[in-house]
Amino acid sequence: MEIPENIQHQLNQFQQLQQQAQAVTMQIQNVEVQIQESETALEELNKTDENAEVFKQAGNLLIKVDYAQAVEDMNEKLETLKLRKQTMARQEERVMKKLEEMQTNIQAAMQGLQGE
Amino acid sequence: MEGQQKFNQLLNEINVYKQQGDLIQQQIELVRASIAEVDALTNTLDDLEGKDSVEAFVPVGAGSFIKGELKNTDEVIVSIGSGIAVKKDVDGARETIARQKKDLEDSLDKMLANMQQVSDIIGSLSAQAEQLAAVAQGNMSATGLN
Repeated sequence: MEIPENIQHQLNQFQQLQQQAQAVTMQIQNVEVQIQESETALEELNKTDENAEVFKQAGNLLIKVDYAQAVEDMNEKLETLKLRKQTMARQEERVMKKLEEMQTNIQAAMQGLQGE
Repeated sequence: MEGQQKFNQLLNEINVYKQQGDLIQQQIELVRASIAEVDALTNTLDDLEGKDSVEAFVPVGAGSFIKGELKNTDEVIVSIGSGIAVKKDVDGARETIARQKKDLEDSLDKMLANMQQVSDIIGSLSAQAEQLAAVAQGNMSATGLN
């Protein structure tokens, strides 16, 4: 059975959208890992004495930073990551919804073909 | 025909789960390597404890070393993740490292459980595929006899 050009086009779009969904999901997982790591670091900082020497890694160098500044930076970083995750989650939701719609349309078109 | 379709579907599913298993296996190896690294660090701290100064070979790149001396073995700068490091005494460093090791071991346990789950699914799907293949083989033999 030959698949009409318009349905083939829809199928191609569907595949592209699937890849997009996969990419977004992977990005979300990536951000989740970063959030977890940042939370662990912040937890560790809170357990550390405020007078302790704190360093920031810059490539192979360690740069001395103020304890309070390190905590503030860490909190800021966490906030940014969580915002990014929210944005990506919304994007993922949109893509998934579009995928479902396309799947329904393609199935309907294919059934229409078989009915002919 | 329907049997063939089902068989192909099972094979596809088995392949997907095998890929997933390979990915988990890679992650398991990475975590195991991290645990080994943490253990090596703990051993080094144990070896250095109570020594005023220690002779060491300092890596200067390209597999080359220069003889040096560790002046202060009472304090360690420990990475706590996310690009932050903190200066701690040896006991403090040990505590932090122990926590890191526990986190790694917890992750490893979860991954091993996932791996077992994937293996079980692959086993179940393979059994179904073999059953279908046997039925198809039987049908072909029966057709051949007639």
